[in-house]
Amino acid sequence: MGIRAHARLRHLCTGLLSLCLAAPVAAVWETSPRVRDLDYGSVLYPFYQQEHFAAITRLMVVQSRGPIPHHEYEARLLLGGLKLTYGLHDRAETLFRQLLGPEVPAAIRNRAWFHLGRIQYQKGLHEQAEASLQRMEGELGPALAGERQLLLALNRMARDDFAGAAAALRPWRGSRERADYGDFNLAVALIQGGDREAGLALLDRLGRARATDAESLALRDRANVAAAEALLRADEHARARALLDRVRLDGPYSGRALLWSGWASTELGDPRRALVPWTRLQGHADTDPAAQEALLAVPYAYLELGEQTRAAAWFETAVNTLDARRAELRKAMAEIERGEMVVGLILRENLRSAAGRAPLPAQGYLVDLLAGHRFQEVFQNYLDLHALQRNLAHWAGSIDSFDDMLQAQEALYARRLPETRARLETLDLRTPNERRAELAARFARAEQEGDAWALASIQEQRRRQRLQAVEERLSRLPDDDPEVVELRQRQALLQGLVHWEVQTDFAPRLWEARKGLLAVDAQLAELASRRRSLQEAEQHALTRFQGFAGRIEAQRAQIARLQPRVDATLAAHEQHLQAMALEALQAHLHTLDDRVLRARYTLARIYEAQETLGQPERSP
Amino acid sequence: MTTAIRTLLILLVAFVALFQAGVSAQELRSLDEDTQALKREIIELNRELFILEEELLFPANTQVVVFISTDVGELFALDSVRLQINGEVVANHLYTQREQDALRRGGVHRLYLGNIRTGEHLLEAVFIGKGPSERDYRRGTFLRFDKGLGPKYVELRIEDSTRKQQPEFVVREWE
Repeated sequence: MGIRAHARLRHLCTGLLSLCLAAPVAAVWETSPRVRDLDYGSVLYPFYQQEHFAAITRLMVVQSRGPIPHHEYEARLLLGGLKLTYGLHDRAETLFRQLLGPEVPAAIRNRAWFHLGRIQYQKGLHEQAEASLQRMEGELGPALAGERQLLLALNRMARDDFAGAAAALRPWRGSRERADYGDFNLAVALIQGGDREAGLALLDRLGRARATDAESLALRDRANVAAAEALLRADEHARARALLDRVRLDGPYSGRALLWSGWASTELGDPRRALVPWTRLQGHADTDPAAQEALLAVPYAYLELGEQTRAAAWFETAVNTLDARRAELRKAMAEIERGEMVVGLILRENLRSAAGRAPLPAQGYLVDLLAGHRFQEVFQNYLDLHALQRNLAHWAGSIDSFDDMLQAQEALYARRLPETRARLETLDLRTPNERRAELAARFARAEQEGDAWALASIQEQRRRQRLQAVEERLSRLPDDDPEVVELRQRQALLQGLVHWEVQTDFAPRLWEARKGLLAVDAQLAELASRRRSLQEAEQHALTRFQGFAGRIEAQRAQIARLQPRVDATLAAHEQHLQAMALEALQAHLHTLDDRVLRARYTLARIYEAQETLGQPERSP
Repeated sequence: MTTAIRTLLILLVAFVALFQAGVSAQELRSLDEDTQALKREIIELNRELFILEEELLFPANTQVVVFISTDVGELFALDSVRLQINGEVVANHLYTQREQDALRRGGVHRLYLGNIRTGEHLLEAVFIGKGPSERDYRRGTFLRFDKGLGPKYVELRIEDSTRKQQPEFVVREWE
């Protein structure tokens, strides 16, 4: 059999499983029911907009001011996740390790174990990854539970533990939307683990499932292709061909399905039937490896059918087409060497609309490379470095305005200093403090002696004095005058009334007086604080200005030091991206060279045979 | 013959790919380590510069920050907000779809960071968007607040009142 299905099947499975590694933070991030710290919310704002660098910076600024009371652990987990997304694996690992203790809430601890397990898996530390994922406990929630199952299965498959991988995926505990991915991977694990029929049954179900959106249609095709691959590996060509016929002709797997369908027919001794899918492949883009393979497969089928003349014509067409592709590839390689691919990729990233998507050099040959993890990682770093380059340029421009601002503040300070000093000198707190002390002593004495009149109003005091004066005057009048007697009685009644009012109001007045005293205290404290603040500002102004100047200078130097490093690393990434593309294209070129060689060799043999037999030549 | 050539081709391509991948992986590791180190340094620097900028341009004793947040946000879709302090427009923000989503998910937008003197001030905000039944909606709210010696944080929160089936605009002061 011409296919090495085992390796490809594993690649297929890895491709699907790796979806769970694509969005490290967002995939398993669950929002708190309510954000209770403004600062934490202000970190989530850029985070939810996928502005990871802004979110990291904001979170670090917030943390530098002190703990985030209601979201401390969440914030630390988020920082770890953000750093992981930003490619800072080592820092992220350190942060996750700090969240594994018993004091950390279980929901946070589980996510920390998950992220740690993923980092370990990516580093190839499969036993440690297994141990980390096993430390997750309790109710995980569907999103995290499903991702854990997929990662566990992926990790076990990497250790060739297919039975363990299948066990990890059964029963599916993740979300319903991801259940088909779980089943697909379970099928792969079952097939690789030897339980082929159970795996094929699962793939068969997925391959027949109703699908409407692009993602589920692609998964359905992929299930059919994977099942067919397993059957081809077992030389069950008829069953395989039936599954390949289910694959959509306009889907991403159509090329592979048509090519393999033809091979299955050939293996079944029916090269004429093989011509149907292979001829159909001629309509595909001729950069499609399957279409290129079919270019040679068709004449080989004609050869097997004994139609040498027709085979020769197809081989000639194949040689011409492949030669043209080789020329295109060489041109594209020259363009890539001139840096056109990277420019094109950046344009595509910035102009996400279809209109902005001009084709890249040799795009058809680079599809797999561009979608691959390694290339994506380097390209993401490249984009990040571009953003950092802009960031440093922004600060390099702003740092001068910091200087201007500092100078303006110093000038303003110098201008205002004499006036402020003068005000400080007039702001004498001794008098109000002494007055307050007097009042407090008066109230205390009144309370101690039960002297209600000490808290009487001025009006009451005056009324009392007037009544005492009346009493005095009445005392000098004759006692036997009935009018005097009546006046004395009225004076006594009024005096008693005033006294009664003052006495009965004593307790509430004392309380009011104390309350008033507290208000005075607060105002005096505020006054003292402002005075102190002004004095401190004056004392520390010089140190503060010098401190700012020092920090500005240090950071200006740091910017200047980092800018050329970013430029150099950016150039290295650009070269690396180009090298990766050239490497991939070189491999394609090599394949094309080989195909042309095979076609020319076979063509020569056909012509040789025709000449030997004296047949007419080179007509289709 | 067909099978033999195909197998040979696969082996040859695989060998070339393996050889080249080995060299690239080593280079990539070194490049990745350099990049990680560089990113770490720039993130630290960026943090320092943000703190410096804030301390220099917006000292605590004059700093005022206004935040926008939403709770649920089903009865009101925020299109824009205009903020005035003491009668002067200090911020005007038009929200994109991504920003609206971020607000709905619990993100808090730092709408304004500025300086004001200690004492009493008037803050006014006008929210424009779509209210219940997709109707155009415009609402204002205000706050008289006292600015002390420390920084002043004001949160303008849009809440859904399920009882009234109307959005509510709540102003809250934080110290």
